[in-house]
Amino acid sequence: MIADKGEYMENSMPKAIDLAALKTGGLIKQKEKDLFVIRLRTPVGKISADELDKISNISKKHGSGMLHFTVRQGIEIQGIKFDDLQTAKDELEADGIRVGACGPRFRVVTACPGEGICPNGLSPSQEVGLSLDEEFYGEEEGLDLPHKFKVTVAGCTSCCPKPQENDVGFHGQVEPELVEDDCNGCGVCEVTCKEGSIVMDDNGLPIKDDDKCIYCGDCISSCPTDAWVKKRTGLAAYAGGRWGRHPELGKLVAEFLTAEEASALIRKSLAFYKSSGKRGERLGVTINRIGFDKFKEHVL
Amino acid sequence: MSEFPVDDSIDLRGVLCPINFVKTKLKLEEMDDGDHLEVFLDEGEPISNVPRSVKDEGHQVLKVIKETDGNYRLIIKKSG
Repeated sequence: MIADKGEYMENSMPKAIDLAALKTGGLIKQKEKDLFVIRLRTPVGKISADELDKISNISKKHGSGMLHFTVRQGIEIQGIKFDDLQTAKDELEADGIRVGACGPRFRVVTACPGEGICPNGLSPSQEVGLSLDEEFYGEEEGLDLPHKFKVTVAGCTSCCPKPQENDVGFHGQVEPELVEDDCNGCGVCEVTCKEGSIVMDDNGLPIKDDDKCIYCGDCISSCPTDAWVKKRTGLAAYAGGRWGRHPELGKLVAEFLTAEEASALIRKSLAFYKSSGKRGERLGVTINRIGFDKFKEHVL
Repeated sequence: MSEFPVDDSIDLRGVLCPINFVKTKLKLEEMDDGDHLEVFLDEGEPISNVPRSVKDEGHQVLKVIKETDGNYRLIIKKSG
């Protein structure tokens, strides 16, 4: 990363480059001499066609004409010459395109399309993700962390954006409730429930085993007569997940959180990580060292 | 065969998702508001997905009948 080459840059830079801005990341050295990648901040992987046009123009003007989509829904403009770096960054910012993060800090939040787009969606993952990104990205509490800190929001229990692989991840969930008078006993919920939580009783009514229910809402969405209704909806929260060399899945911290409670959980997790994490370790390692129960005491 | 008189019928056993839904949708488009369509579906994914998608499109699923061969018969009322 360019931040590691600060000295080299200061001595050799042909034009003023904003070193303070480099600390927020997004400028990454390529393997090839004098070439850089600019990583863009595209929270929840959402971008307008007009913005994409602007990015395309900058890529053709200053870069190699190639873009790369990162696994965290970001866009990287490849092949920007060192001499053009500041100009390209200025032009992007003038176009309203923000440069994104690398390094030990709160990263750009990812999310699936969520309810409104995805037929399976149970929560507004895009809105929740954008709101969390606005609240924490580039803010003091998310900077100068022991290591990177990744957050994602999944709209449902299918967990497409992998909340259990993030430092803190969320997924939408819904608790079903049966309105018996509306049930015609068709049994679609019994065959639809992948968890084996619903069994039709002798009277032809579905009986739900709460211990097996994972709050996916398949019974609600498939019910022909709308007899299964939403009792409550919210976000399940996982913490301590990561990929990389030593992957580990995050553990369930809380269920049925509101968006405000999800935000509070991140705020407290960042504070815990900042005060208890050792340099270079991810949140999950800190949690393993200090204890999951103690972590929960800190954040709930 | 059914307590609901049907105006048309379509057999989608052996037809995969989402083609079974698309065929149901196209058949419903040919029909009049209030007409009843009978649809035969496989167990598994089709019976989990098709009633949901039909509901999302604003139609009414009047009845789901499990057949003796394990497959399903759906009665849909075209709405809108």
